[in-house]
Amino acid sequence: MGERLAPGSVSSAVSLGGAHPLRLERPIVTASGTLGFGAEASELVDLRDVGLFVTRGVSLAARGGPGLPRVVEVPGGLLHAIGRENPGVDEVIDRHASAWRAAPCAVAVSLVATETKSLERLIARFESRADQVRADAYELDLTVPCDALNGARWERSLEEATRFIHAARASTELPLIVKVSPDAVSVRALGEAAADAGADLLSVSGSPIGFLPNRSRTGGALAEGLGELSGPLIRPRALAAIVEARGTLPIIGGGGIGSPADALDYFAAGAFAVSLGSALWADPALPRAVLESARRSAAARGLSQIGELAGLALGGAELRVRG
Amino acid sequence: MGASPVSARLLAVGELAPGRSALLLRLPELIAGLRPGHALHLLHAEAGGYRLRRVAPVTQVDLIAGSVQVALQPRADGGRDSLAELTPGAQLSVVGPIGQPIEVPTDALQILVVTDSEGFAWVRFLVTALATAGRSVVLLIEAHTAAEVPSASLLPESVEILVATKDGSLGHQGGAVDLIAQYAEWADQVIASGESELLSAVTRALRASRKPDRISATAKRRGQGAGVARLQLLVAHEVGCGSGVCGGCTYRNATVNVRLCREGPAVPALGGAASKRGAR
Repeated sequence: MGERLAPGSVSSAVSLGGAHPLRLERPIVTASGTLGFGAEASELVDLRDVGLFVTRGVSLAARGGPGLPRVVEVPGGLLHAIGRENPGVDEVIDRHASAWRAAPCAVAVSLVATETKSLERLIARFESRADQVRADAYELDLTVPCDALNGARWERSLEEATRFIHAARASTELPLIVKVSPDAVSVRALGEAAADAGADLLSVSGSPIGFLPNRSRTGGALAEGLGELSGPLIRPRALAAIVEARGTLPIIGGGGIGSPADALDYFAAGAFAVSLGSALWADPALPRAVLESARRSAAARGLSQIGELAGLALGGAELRVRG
Repeated sequence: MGASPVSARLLAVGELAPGRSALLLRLPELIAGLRPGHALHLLHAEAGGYRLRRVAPVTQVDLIAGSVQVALQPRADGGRDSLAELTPGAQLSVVGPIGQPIEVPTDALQILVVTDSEGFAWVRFLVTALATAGRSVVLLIEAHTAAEVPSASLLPESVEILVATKDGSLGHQGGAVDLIAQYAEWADQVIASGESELLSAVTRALRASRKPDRISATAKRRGQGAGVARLQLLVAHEVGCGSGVCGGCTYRNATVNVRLCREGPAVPALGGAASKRGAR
């Protein structure tokens, strides 16, 4: 450990990935679904404190969502089912691409596809409108249902997930961020397969599945029944998944980050950038607070870059992870 | 940035109805702009655990005293809201108003409001405002048992209140929809608030007994309220971004797609055109 530095001298920029690197001026990501598709994002959060804005999920054709309730509070978090509702790629581009071009941070479009053909066509649609679309990366959301798995998530099958990533890699030269949750069949195996298939980053920030009966126990608390979990209750699971996946691809970590201290836990577990979600609704200034805290933490350790915080809790050795 | 949070001082914690907590807040920055239908997003900064703003419908505004009453909504997991544990003097972070005022055409003089113990919080302010403005208001309240029925003292004396309880412990034994038929023709405007089963039942009952849609015709003739449906449903939402971007409170029916936190809580159901503000 070096001598203590001035926080202002610590670099926040990170360049992640190999063949298709993604440079983030700040290691702060806003999670897909949290701030909308783009046009409204800068009204909610100061994107100058953010490194990467990830859009809500976008599919080739419009997708409807489930009935209400779609979001309920559970102990330590939220249970939600939005169904990746979106108006389809063309309407999203028409309404939001100008905001992406104007964004003071990198932009990743989160792609929603239930089979590989529609993924290829979706990417082709974006690329055909490249004159309007400024996307710095694509997020491949493996927590989306897969038709070939009868609606189970892509991340539940190593084989299907690998096919999905291969199809994306063959369709674009942009950096690919593979998003998984702690529910993945094996986060480490998926990370290795994603690296082999040409992905550039692994985002371990997806929501695991949850269920809660309604108060009369006659059905689910959500109209959809099953939902996805966010909030502090998933944090230890997400941190464990990051430890498991460490070394496969550069990791964006997230899940239940509600304070700068929580974010430091993610860096310490091996993340090079942190993904902020529903906590932004309560605290829009959280990105700035996380950034400043990470700078102070690095400076106190004599580190000249925030990226050097990654994996400090592992003491230089991999934790033993049992599958 | 979006609407900035303001600070509110907690004046008292009470009950709107048995088991339904309410907070009385001093909220000078927002009070003048609050209308029936509005809610507030509440956060207690010192509270431990998950920092999540909760949607609290405005149930009463006292401009003279400078106080605002909001209701805490029941949690899906049955847990007690930590905001109900606060003591007077606590400071809350408040964002609002959330949603739009409920539109009631000026020539709708006879108003039927149907609610249950869950939905009462969303209509108390409205019923009070309508009655105070001299409109005739009939309130049908449905509950499982008498213990769940809000006190009549919460409303102006001019409001005609009818109670239906499932167990027959107070008023009519059965559901509120059993009582709708006698008011369906009388009412210029019908507003329903509560659980989805109640909203569906009211919609069905009103459709079955529906007479010519006189409020729409009258409104068109006078050039007023052309977009206001004769039946409006108030749909509750509990948590979410509060700014319309997360999709957590998007209500869809055959004609409209309403983000409840932005365009809600009123959703047009029968008669009249879909509200223009609801098209997304």
